[in-house]
Amino acid sequence: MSAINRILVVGGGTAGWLSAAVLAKELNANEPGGVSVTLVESPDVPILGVGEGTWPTLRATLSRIGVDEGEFMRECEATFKQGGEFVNWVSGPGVKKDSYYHPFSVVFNQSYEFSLAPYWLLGESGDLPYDRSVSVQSLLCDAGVAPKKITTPAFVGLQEYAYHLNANKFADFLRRHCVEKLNVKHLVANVTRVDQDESDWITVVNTDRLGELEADFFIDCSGSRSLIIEGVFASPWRDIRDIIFNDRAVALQVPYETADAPIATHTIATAHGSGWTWDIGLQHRRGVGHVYSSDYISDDEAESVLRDYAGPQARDIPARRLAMRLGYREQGWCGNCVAIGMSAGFVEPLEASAIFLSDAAVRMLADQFPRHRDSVAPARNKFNRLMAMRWARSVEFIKLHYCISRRRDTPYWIDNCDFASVPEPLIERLEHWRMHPPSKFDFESAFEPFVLDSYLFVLYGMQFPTQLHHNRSAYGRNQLARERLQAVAESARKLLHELPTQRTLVDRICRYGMSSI
Amino acid sequence: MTNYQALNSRRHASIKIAKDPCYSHAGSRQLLPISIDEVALASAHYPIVFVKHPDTGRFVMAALVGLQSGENLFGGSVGWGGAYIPFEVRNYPLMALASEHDAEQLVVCVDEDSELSGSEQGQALFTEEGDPSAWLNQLISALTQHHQRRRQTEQAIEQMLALDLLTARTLTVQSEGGQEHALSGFYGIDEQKLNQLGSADFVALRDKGLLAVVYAILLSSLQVASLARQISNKAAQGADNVCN
Repeated sequence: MSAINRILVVGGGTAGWLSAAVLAKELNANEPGGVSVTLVESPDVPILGVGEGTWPTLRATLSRIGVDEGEFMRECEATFKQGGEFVNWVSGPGVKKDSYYHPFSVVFNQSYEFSLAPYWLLGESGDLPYDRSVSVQSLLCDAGVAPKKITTPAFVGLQEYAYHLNANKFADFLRRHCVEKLNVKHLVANVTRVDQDESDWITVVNTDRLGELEADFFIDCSGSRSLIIEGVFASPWRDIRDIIFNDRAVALQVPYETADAPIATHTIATAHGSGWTWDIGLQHRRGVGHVYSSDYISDDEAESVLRDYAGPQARDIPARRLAMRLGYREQGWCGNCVAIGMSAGFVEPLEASAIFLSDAAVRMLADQFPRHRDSVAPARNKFNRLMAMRWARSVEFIKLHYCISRRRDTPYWIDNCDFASVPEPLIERLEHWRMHPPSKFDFESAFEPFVLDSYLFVLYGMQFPTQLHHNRSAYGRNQLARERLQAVAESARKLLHELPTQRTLVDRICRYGMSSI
Repeated sequence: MTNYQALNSRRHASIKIAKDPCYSHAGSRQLLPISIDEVALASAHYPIVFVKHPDTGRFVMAALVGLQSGENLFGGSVGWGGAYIPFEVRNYPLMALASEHDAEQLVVCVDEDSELSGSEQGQALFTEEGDPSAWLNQLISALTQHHQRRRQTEQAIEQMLALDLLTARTLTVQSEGGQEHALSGFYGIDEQKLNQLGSADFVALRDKGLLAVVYAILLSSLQVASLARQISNKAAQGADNVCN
């Protein structure tokens, strides 16, 4: 049998169900002649269930697979995420407030055509930091307002947005959507053995209670167990612990002080002595966690840092400890199996890239999906090349948050800023950026995970010292720059007047839903 | 701001409801909510549009009476020059509302802050014995029925949404001076979707009594001409029928 008509997804967390949903929708599992999609998950192995930050691309995916946004937000306790705030990354805790935003929206600062960065560097905004000068969204995040109104149609925003969501409920929600609306078959069993044919193609997955499951193509979403991609294909794991040090996490769920307490509209990432804490606001509770390096701090000390951050409300709440395997596979696609999710790799959650990379991988797979064995190789090579680039660039972007810090208060920071731990391509870019701000020419691929504006927000949020005075004459469009900067301030003023708080909007959405038009 | 209170024979013992032939309480509103039973009459004078309520995002059906927020082009003359006066406008300051304690129960309320609610002029709410006046009794029935029809209107809108019949529209009004006004933020009936409805859905619309409503709303967009005319009418208005 050379035709590829049946997909089996192994594993049922976010990666598994998201993959099943996208493939079933794009490949028309509902139609005769469409590819069939089955998902088998273990009744015993729990899903990871910790990933609660997403990117705006997920919004497009949910819309594409036919999700009702109001229903999704209600059932997954979701709130709007407008980006990340990075606290204490530059100099550490001290007298002066040390925080910057990496927001999603770049409405007034499409740096590809005209970048405001050099003008900011040359002093056009006075003392105002980069994010508050060029980004309306930073100012909205400061005020805790939502990126849209109750009258804005579903999936549309007045600013770019993503979600914070309850990971366990999200997996349940996607499962129901897949089974009820997308014709995905759901099986529950443990995988015992995987069989291959003479060409090493997987033919059958054996289970403990449902016998043999036959399929033509397999998606390995079994997380760190990597049953197929590692168990069968032994696809090499590229370790990144020499670059990214944080290999452990400890997490807590903290209730709000009151039912109507404000909900932050962005992820708060606070740097500490040997790691950083995440703080994600859902509808009825916050999720907080400390991501840290076991080489620099013990698990007990790390939990202590988290509890200090979380405050007295967390006192009697048990914490969950996790070990993270840091790295990625340069060949996420082997034979007729593609690894998506933790089985493909994991960097660290600093920019919430895990769900994004799963989403990006499955969209590319759906687009390139081979219906015949003979067309697998070119698609596979392209996929592996692009995904490896995406992983490598994600590692670099996350490292950027650390290696240009001025913190040297602990060995962790000293070592993190040592360029021996920085990937060569990033060193080269930083070298150039000392004398020239980032531009569109620094980004060769249309599929890079982090775009020009993302680098600008982090670089200049971290106060990276780009020197421009020697080339001042190249930046003569001061009038235009001033107009744009003013437009940012004006637009923010107007929107701050119109937009509801996150809490108000989320309450309304839960009561009234969201219109699709 | 309104202050609706449930009618109470002691609290409102001496209250009389005055009549204002200019309906000036609606004189500064661009959109007037109507219920489905009013569509036929209202669509003869005004474009009927759907707008999202700012607090809930849910669609409301309304008569468009002005070109901009705060403007009612018809409000300047007595009886609005013969144009249809929506039920809620006509019966203000009285309204039937769901009780705070039990959503199934209806209570007739009066806006105590209204200028039309006073002790001097108009129809008395209660008799000296404290019973509802004959006038009020007649109204209670009409007010309760209207509340029912508002519920039916919400359901009708839901049915139209389920059939994908609503769409965002921009209405263009051309005033006599040749000026064009583009009004956006409204929704209307999508004629193409309506024409493409499968037989079963189309018959369902008929059986629910919504066919006439849908077509009346569709055709009412032509009433933008009425708004344009009203601009000129106001300019040429005689002194007799003018309201403050």
